Amino acid sequence: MLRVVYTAMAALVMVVAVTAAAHAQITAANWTEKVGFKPDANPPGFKVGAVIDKSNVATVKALLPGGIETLVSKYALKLWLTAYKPIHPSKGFIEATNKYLGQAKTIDTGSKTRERGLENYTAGLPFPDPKNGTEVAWNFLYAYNGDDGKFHYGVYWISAKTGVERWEEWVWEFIIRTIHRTDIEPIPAYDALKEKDIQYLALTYAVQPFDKRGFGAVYRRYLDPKDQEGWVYMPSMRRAIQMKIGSTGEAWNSTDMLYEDVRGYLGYVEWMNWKILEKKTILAPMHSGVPVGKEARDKVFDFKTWPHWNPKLQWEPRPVYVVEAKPKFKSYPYSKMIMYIDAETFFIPIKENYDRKGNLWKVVINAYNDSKDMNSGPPRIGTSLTIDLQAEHASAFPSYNYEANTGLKPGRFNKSTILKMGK
Amino acid sequence: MRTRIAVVLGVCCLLWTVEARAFDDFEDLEDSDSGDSTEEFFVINGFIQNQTGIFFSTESNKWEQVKDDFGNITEYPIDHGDKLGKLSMMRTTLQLEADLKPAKGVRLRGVFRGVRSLQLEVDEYAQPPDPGKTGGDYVAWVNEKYYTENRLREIFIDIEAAPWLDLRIGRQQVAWGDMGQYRLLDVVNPTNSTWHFPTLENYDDTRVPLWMFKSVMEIKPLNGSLEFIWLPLLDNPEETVTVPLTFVSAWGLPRSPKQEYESGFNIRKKTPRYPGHKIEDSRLGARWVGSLGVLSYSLVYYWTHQITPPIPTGFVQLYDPTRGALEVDRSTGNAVIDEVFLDYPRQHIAGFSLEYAFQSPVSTIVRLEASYTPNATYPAVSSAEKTTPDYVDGQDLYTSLLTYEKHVASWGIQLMRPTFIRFLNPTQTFMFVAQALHTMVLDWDSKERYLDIPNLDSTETKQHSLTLVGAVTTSYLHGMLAPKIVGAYIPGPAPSGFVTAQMAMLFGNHWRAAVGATMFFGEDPYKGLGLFRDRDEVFARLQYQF
Repeated sequence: MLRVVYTAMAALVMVVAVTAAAHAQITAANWTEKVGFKPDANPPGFKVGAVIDKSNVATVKALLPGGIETLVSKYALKLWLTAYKPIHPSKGFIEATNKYLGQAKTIDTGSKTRERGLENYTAGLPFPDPKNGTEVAWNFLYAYNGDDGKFHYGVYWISAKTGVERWEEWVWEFIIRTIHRTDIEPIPAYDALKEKDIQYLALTYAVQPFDKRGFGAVYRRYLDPKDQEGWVYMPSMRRAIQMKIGSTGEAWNSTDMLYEDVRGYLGYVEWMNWKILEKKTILAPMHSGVPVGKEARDKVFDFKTWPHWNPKLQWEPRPVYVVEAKPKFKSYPYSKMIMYIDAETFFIPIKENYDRKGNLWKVVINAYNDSKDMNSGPPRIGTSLTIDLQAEHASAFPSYNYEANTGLKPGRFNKSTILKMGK
Repeated sequence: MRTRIAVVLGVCCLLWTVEARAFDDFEDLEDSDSGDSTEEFFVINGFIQNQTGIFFSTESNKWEQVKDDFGNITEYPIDHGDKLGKLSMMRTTLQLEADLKPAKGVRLRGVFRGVRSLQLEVDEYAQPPDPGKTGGDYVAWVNEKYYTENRLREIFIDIEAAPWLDLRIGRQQVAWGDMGQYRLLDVVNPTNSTWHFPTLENYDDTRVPLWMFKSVMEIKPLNGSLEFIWLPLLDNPEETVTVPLTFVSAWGLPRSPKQEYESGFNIRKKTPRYPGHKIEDSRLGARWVGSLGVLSYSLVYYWTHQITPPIPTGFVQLYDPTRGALEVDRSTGNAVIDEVFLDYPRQHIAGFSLEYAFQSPVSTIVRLEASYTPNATYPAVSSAEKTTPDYVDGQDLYTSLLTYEKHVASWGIQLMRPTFIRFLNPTQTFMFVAQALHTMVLDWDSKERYLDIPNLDSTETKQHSLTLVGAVTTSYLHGMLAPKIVGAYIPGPAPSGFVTAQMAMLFGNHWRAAVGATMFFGEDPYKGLGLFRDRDEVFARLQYQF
């Protein structure tokens, strides 16, 4: 009997030791295989330097999500192919992933949408080598984005029939990690915000055109899957009024993109049922080579040629989890979303949204550029594009400037800031 | 004027020595400078727009003829109208807005507005303070005085003087309170809404900017900020008060109906005694803005003048040496009042506002706002007793009119809820807004009779008055079409209200347009919004912005 106990204890010690050794081994060099999986860097039909269009799209059909293939074959999208390059997060994020490995646990919230679905998460990637769709979704939510960022961008409303309808210029500042921080002190959290369960602060304001100039909003997001709260400054009233920012399933600023489509998915994990459909290699614009700046927007988007929304991006073989997200809400514009979640970064470079009848409705493309320094900063936002295939209408978001880890402080994200920025 | 501007700019320069920073909602969490890539040294924007409206009410003019003891016949309006098919406005506006950022923490802002309007036939019924004109004169007078504009509406400097102190000095607008429509606490700037029904125009456009000093001090330990304003009233005195809506006719108040008391007076001139240009006329105010969790609140106090309506406080009759008595109209035998004085008494206003956003599934923002005025002044009904001193033969006679100072409290509540009606609009919410306003005279005495609107005996003040407002808006076609419906209802023995439907449109980045229609209703043409029941209107706005 004693022998059995000793043997069991020895086995347990070995398992713990092996597990700990394996966990401790997550590094920048092995990040890909430890947290996700490696892609097929040279899949059949793929050739670095090739340009894919309608004439040769069949050669890479197996590497393309259906929505992207449709854009190539029916809407003249071209894909400039480039070689796969691995991406890893910052040293701080890797350290946090190792330090808190195995602690995060999902909570089954069933059909409930307002109950928290994660516990014991502190920082880093919560679920290296995720086992199910929900873990992949949490990995996306807490993927490495740096601790804060500032995005200066354009918004273009584009009709395939008439071209660019109008445009606006916006700035979006955010502390994406008020808690769960890894890069900038205080690490891992601003205690004052942690006490209030505030995990995200944002400030957004319009720069152009005239009738939008001065419009701004500050808002906060909680750990619990509650509505985002904040204040909106109304220039016509010269008042900042309290508002819910982004009702569930609402279009952002009358674009083709819902609030939940921002960055691929800006909703809460608890709002959807998640399921991994497959793990595969696809072509995605993770090193898209997009030039940024106002002057560069015409180099990124071909506004003049039908369908007026096609971007010039580099596409590379990427490992992805193909994840299906079905809304728990009875009334939601999408019946399901298919997200192609990058298995290294857990970003969502491609997403397909289906209408209530199950037909493909929208395709979302998020293109990224190289990080300035992968050891200290995330990939930079290159551009974003949402295409409504049914209305043949698109919303494009060229990047004028993006900086991460700028050292934004929470004091900026309050009502008085938008009052001062207003008229 | 130049001296005043020089003094203000001098003060600005003195204060422009300290580096800046701001406010902080979270204790102990400092603010940061984001290194704004959009900062531009100088920006100028603006628009040119035309607003056109046509009355389509079929309410007609009706008059009652009254014969006096001498057989003289006088006509009194018992309804008003005569506007069908006539222009309600034809107004072209050029507005330029410039921002200059000469240094970190300093901003100069200027807003120019130039307006030209057609003369409106309906202004023949205006009631200007100098009534010794003909209808045609009124039309030109209203157009020149109220519809025409060439001015630097706003010109101010913002200075972030210290990490806890922001200053704004110059001619500016201050918007206090949290609710739309009722403006219980939005009382700092007077308004000019002579060109359109005020609900249909932005507050930004109808407020009259005034010269003032404003400071905002952040007080971190209390999680709030203290705002202080001082208005030395350097402005043109006429602009320190709200433009009386009797002075114009297109969107002004109609001629008074037959008064309960037939005065037998002919009035030669009304003289508003505007405050301003004296240090003792300064206005002062303070506002505390804070938050308790997600509950926002503000506390407001403002020492001001009663900027609307003007209160008739007395009149003068002249001695006529040829008659050896007070002047009379020789054709009618009526006594002549040479001058009626309209005053803007001092007033205290205190109040508070609360704002709270309920989470889903309630998903409703609730705003509560209340104000208290301990000395609201009301004019007495026209039949009220007048205070006339013993007449001294051979001299002009001044007579005081009775007024009442009352304690008045008002409170309003607003509910705002974004709601999906997916089959009507799959990805945009409908914003539903409901508001109620209750005003109460606290020291009400049923024996006293006084008026909400001077010289309109039909508007006798009630102890309680209630107004209800509802609105709904949404957008279609990626924001290119934005329909809006607004309605208001004043219950009571003679209920009244209005409904307006509007469609705003975007065309590219430069063109904006709107079309709409407003219908007023009211059982009594001289009560509540029935005053406007001859003002049913279709209107359009076309704007080019740059």
